Amino acid sequence: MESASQTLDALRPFLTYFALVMLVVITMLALSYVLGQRHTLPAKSIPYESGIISTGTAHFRISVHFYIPAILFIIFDLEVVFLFAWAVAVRENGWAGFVEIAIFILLLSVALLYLWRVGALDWRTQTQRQQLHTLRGPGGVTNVRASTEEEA
Amino acid sequence: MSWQLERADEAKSPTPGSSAFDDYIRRNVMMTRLEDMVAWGRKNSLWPFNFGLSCCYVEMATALTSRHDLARFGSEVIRGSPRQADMIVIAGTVFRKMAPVVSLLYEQLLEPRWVISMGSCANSGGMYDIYSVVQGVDKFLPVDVYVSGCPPRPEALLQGLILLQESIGRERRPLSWVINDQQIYRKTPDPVQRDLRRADRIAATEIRSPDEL
Amino acid sequence: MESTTLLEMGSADLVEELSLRFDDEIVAVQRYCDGIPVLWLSRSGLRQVLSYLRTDASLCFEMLFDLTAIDERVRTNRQGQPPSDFTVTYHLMSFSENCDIRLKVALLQPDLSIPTISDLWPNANWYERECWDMFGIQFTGHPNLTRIMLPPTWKGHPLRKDHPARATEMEPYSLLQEQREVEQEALRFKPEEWGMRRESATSEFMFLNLGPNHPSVHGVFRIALQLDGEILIDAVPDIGYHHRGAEKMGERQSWHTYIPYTDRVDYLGGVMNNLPYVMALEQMAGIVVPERVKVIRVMLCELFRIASHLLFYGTYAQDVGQLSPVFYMFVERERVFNIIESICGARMHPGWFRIGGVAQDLPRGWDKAIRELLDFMPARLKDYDGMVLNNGIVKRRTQGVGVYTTRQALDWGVTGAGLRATGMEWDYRKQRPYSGYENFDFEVPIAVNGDCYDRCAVRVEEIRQSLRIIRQCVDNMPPGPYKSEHPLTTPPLKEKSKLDIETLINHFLSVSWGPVIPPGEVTMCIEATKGLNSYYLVSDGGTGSYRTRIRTPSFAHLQMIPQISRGFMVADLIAIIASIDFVMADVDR
Repeated sequence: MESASQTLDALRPFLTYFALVMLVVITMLALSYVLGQRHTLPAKSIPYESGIISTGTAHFRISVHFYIPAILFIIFDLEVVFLFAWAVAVRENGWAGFVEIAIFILLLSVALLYLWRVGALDWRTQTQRQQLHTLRGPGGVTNVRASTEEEA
Repeated sequence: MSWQLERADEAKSPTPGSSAFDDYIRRNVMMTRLEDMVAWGRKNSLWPFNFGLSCCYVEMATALTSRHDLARFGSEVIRGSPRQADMIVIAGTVFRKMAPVVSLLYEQLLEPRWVISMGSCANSGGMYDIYSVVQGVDKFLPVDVYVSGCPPRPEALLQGLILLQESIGRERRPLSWVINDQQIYRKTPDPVQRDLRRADRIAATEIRSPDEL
Repeated sequence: MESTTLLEMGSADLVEELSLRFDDEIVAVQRYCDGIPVLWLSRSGLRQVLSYLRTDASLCFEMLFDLTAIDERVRTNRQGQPPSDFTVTYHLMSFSENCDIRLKVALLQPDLSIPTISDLWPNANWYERECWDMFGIQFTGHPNLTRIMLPPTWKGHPLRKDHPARATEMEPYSLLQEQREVEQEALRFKPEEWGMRRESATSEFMFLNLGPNHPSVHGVFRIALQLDGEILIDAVPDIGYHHRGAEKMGERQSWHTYIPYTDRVDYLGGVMNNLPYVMALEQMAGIVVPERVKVIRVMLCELFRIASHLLFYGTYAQDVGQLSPVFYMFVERERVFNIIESICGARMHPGWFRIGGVAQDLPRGWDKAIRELLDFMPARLKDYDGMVLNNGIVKRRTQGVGVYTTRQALDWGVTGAGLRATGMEWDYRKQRPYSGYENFDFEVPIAVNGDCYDRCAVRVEEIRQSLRIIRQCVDNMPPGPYKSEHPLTTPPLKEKSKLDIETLINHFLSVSWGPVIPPGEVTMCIEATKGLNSYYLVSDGGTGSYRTRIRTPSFAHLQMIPQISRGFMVADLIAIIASIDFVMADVDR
């Protein structure tokens, strides 16, 4: 049919490109499979852990320590989705649309400011916070005057 | 594979009438065999593995820093993982507790791989003929170049690397496991530097006194 | 020597006090040429006396400096000492009163067990493990008495006199596949052995090897980490991958030929490691070195201190993330090495000090290069300050990380810059000056927070103070001989040995067979680059050492790592390890 051959014409560049890509990839894989030497030693297949055999597996229940940043990311990511949707039709929406999206962004900024002030963005550990509190002074050497620098 | 560079202002530019075509070809086109080019590529990009045991590692690190600069010789990137490294420099004493670890790491190095044994302790146990030291890393690893010294100067390590590079330039590896036998061809056994330089050393009569800088 | 009289005065009353209070526990009292009183205790009274010394005595001993043992079975010169097959030695140090005491307990075979003191001083844990590993002495009540220096599969106890010293006296080494598997399995970390749980209520823990081959652990050091995500719950340091048997080697070498082995104990310290060893021998032999020797020794030691601290500075910055400063610092190190090479003949391991002096006189023109270094360095240090110490990211990563108090430091045996960063102004060169340090004018930098940043800052300031000392050496180098004329100086002055047959015979015998040092025991300690480094030598009147004990600072520092890094993230652990400034050869010898 006419429309079928038309679509085929339109698609021809894509199909050629796809075929070439597949050709390149298959050549690379085949060559790397065939060339070179083949050695199998027992240690080659185990993971590298500084030269010692590892304890336990890599599949275990990881603690979701960073879930707060993850959730925040989801929220602000969805905000970006809405922004994209608005940005595509920015001219059609006009000034009214601009004001609405500005209010939207403002509300989310207030939420971000609240999160920042309340400390949800600070992922330091308990011990890190405690020890930062115990610091006295700006750090560094306290008893030697800079007289040695004046000498030089 | 032989090639050379000419300074631009010294090179004779082809003039019309002379054999310009041969000249042009010589200056712009390089012909070589595939195996030579592959060997050249391998020898000039030996990436060392981040491995060091003892005092020799400090001298190896010194060789990597700006004064001696191992990166000039192609050992640009030190790889943290053995699977990405070409060469392991056994820098320092090989301890009995560490030997299984070294052996594991050597197995995890992907071919083609080479071993430089740096320092007296790695060569033969050095001055540590003691219960906890393996008397030389060649007790369980094949070594390509031995660099002697305690610790070897960074320049000595550079020389060891250059010797290894020359040796790699001469070796031929099989193209594919499908067609060839799995042999690495090396033309002649590499000469020992001590024998090569003996004549020079014996001929030297001036030795600088240590009493003056 | 002034320092010994101070020690004697301070501790004479203490010995009296102890003798009165613990009359039936003390078996004998001795005093050797280093002035430290030695009390022999009975095994049952050990813990009583030690806990009294820790807290209630008129002199409180805050730190367990060293805990080791001696195999006395073939020792011939033991006048005044109770019968013993194995002697366990405790060396305590009081920082507030600046004195030491040594306590010994005699053990007879086959009953080689002794109560542990790891609850009194936490750092006794590893020292007792080392004693068990090397001698086979059981410490009852120790939380985890396993091998520390040797592989877990080793049979035998090396420092016993019946264990072969040389690798050539044992079977030739081979590493077959099955053997490697056995060894690797033995090295594998088993959390249950250390009392670690595998999981918490909500997640499982990951056990990661920050293994022997890792760029950040500065050598062959392994830490097994228990991680909850990124946070460190617990860590177990595993050492022994760098055990070169330096102490056993001392029994195989003569007094003179052992000097190169001392160089390689702290391989960044070079000649500084020779110093406590030769000073200990000089004290035992009664050799007094000329003034020029003292000043030359001080100058070279301070040069090596600068070189070592520069390397620390560069690798510290590198571990925290700055990859450039290490290249600059290594260029400075090359300058220092050039000077050292022109004077001593070798870059890293000169082995240049001798019993009774130094190997050769300073070459003509030696001060020119040093003066250039002294003029050049302060400006460079200022540059590095701007690059590293004043860098906001470095500060954020290292301030408040790995904090410990002075009390904790003393409990765990931390000495050197790590102690001074907590606010305690204590430097062995000032408290008990040796080798002429009392004649030099320098300050001891301290910091108050005790975190990683402060440890680095203290060491940088120490570089400046070392430059100051070197300038004083260069300006005031006394003329004179470079070796003493005492008969036990090894090798003797060359000019004399060429003219005098007795000196020549002496030369031949002491270099080939070894100088015969009179029987006795001595401890000599110095402020080395990493902390307090001390050599405890036992001489049986022979040409070699009967027992060489090297108390190194980094051994104690590494023990403290789990304590100060729990609850931090892995990246903080890297900063902590970088700030401790240890060298694995210093830990495992």
